[in-house]
Amino acid sequence: MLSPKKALIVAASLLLFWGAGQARAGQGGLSAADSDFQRVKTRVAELQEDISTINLLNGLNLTQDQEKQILQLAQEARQVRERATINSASLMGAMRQAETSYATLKEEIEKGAPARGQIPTQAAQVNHHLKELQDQGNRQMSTEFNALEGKLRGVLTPEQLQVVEDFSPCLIPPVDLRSPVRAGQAASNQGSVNLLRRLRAIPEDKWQARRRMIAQKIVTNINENHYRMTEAEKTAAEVRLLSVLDQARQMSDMDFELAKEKLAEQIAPPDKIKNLRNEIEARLPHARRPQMSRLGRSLLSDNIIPILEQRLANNNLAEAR
Amino acid sequence: MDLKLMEPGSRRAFLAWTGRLGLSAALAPVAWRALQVLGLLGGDQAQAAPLPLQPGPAPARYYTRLEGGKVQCQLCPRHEVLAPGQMGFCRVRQNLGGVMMTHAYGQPCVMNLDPIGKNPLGHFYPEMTVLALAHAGCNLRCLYCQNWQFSQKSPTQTKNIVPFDFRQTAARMQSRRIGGVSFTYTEADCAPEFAGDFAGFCGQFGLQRTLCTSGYLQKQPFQDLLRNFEAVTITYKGATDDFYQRVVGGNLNPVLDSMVLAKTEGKWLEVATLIVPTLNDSREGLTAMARWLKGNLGAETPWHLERFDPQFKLMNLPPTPQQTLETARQIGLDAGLKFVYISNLAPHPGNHTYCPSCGRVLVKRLGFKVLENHLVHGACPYCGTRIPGVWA
Repeated sequence: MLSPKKALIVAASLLLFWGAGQARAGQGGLSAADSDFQRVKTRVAELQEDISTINLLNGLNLTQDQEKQILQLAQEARQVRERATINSASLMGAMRQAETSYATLKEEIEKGAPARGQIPTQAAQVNHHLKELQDQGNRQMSTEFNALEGKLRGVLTPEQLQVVEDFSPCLIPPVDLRSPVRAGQAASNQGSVNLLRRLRAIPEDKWQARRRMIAQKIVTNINENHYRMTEAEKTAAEVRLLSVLDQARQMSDMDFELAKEKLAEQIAPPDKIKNLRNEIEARLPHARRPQMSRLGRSLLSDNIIPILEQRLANNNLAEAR
Repeated sequence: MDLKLMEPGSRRAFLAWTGRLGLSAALAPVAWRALQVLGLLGGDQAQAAPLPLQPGPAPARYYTRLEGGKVQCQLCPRHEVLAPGQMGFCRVRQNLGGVMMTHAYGQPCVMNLDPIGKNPLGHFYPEMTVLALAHAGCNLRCLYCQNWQFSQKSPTQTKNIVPFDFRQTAARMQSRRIGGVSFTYTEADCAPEFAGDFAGFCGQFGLQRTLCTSGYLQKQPFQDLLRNFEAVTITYKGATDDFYQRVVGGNLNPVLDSMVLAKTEGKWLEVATLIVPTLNDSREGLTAMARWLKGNLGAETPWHLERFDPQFKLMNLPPTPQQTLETARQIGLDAGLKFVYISNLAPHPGNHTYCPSCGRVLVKRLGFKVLENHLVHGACPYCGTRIPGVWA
C-alpha cells in the first residue's frame, strides 16, 4: 500500500505528465490548424488570381492563334524566371556573406554606440556588392521580359491592349449591356447615375436638411474606400459635390437625362491611386522598377499557362465534335 | 346648368345631371390632350411648337371602331379587338370609351446619349452621337429580351421623363451637338404617333432620325412611320416562323415584308440578329437568313450578329460563345453578304468595317466607339471602292 504522502506525489506526477501531454497535443493541434489555414489561404489567393486572369482572357476575345502565341510567350517567361533561380548561386553566396556581416554589425550597434572600424566597413562593402548583384540580375531579367512584352504587344490588337490597360481585377464582372468592352471591374458611371437619381427624388425640405450630411457621406466613402484625403481636400470635395448635387436636382427630367453621364463623372471618385501607381512605375529608376509592365504581369504570369492550355484543349475538343 | 331650373324633387334628373358633369370632368383632360396632340390648340402656333406633353393617354391612329364600343387595332399583325377599357397586348394602346388611346405619346422612360453604333447602325454617320429614346411596351414577347425591364411594362407603370417638350428637346440636341434622335431599346412602332411626330419635328431642325424596330407592323402604319426616318435597323430574329412563334411571340412573314418595304422606300437599312445559343444559332438557319438577306435586300445590306446575354426568361442559357458568333459571321460572308458585323462582343475584328474589294480596315471600332475612320467621301482610300451607306 502507498502511504497517502506517496500517493499524493504519484498523483501529482501523473497530473503533471498528463498536463504536459495535453499541452503538447494542444500545440500539435494549433500547428495543424495553422498549416491548414495557410494552405487554404494560399489556395484562395491562387483561385482569385486564376479567376481574375480568366475574366481578363474572356474580355479580350482572343483568337485561338493569339492564345497559342500568348501561351508560348508565357512559357518563355517562366523559363526566364527559372534561369534566374538557377543563376542565383553567386547571389546566394553574397547573401550568406551579408547574413554574417549584418549579424556582426547588429551585435556591435546593440552595445549602444555607432559602429566604427572594420565591422561597418565590411558590412557596407557586402551591402554594395549584394545590391550590385541584385541590380545586375534585375537588369538581365528586365531585358528578357521587355523583349517578351514587345512580342506580346505584337500579338494583341491595339483595342485588346487598351482592355488590358483598363482592366481591374475582380471576381464577378458586372453585366454592362451598354458597354461590351468592359472586362473585369473597369470603371462605369452607372452607380453614380443611380445615386443621382435617388437624390433627385428626395423632397426639397428633406434635401435641405440633409444635403451636407449626404455630401459628407460621399466624401467619407471616397476617403475610406478609394483614396485618403487631407482635411482641406475633404472640404473642397464637399463644396464641389454640393454644387454638382444641387445642379442635378434643379434640372428638369430631360436635362438631367442628357447631362447624367457628365454629372456622374463629376461625383465619381477619380482613380487617383491608379494614376499615382502609373507615375511611380514610370519614374522609378530602372533597377527598382518592377521587372514587368502591367501587360506582362497580366498575361505572362505562371498561372496563365495551365489556363491557356485548358482553353486550347477545350477548343480542340469542340472542333473535334 | 342652374340647379334651380330643375324640377323640384326630380331625383332622376339630378342623377343624370351629376352623371354628365362627372363624365365631362373625366373626359376633359383627354379631350384637351387630343386637341394638343392633333395641333388644334392655337392653330399654326401649336403645330410649330407643340406644348409640353403632360402624362396621360393621347388619341391613337390606325384602328377601326366596332359595335358595342369595341375597337380593332390596325397597327400590328395581331389585329386585336379591344373591349371598352381593355389594354392591348402591347400594353401601350387601350380602348378608352370606344376610342383607341396610346399611353406612350410623349412618355419616354429612357433617354440616353448613345453612339449610333449601338442602334446598331454601322454605315450611317458612324461617329454620330444620338439621343436614344424609348417608351415602355412592346408587341412581342421575346423570351430573351435584353430590355425587358421596360419593354414588358406599360408606360403607365414606368417613371417617364415628363413633361416632354418637342421644341425644348430638339433645341437641347442642337445646343449639345447631338446628331440626331434614335427610337430604340423597345418597339417605337407600338406608338408610331409619338415616334413619327417627334422624328418629323426633329427633321425640321436638320437632325438625323433613326429607328430600331422588330418590323412587326402592318404595311400602312410602317410606311407612314418610315417617312419620318432616314435610317432603320430591323431585327431579323430567326429563320423560321416556328422560332418566331415559340421564342418571339409573333410571326416571321410580316417582318420579312417590313424589311423589303424599308428597302423599297429608299431608307438606309441595316439588319440585326441576336444569336441565342441553341435557339437560332444553327448553321442551316443562319445560312437561310443570310441567303434571304442577300436575295431580297442585296449583298450590301449590313448584318449585325449580336451576342446574347442571359436576360429575362432565358437566364438558363449561357452568353453566346465567341466561336458561335465567328462562325455565324463566316456563314454570312460565305453567303455573299459584304458587311457582316459582330456586335456586343468587343474588342473583336468583327466590329470593324472592311473594304469588300481590298480587305483593308476602313472603320475601326472598339465596341460601339469609332477609333479610326479612313473613308474618304464614302469610298475606300486604298482602292477607291464605294462603300454603301450615309457617311457625311
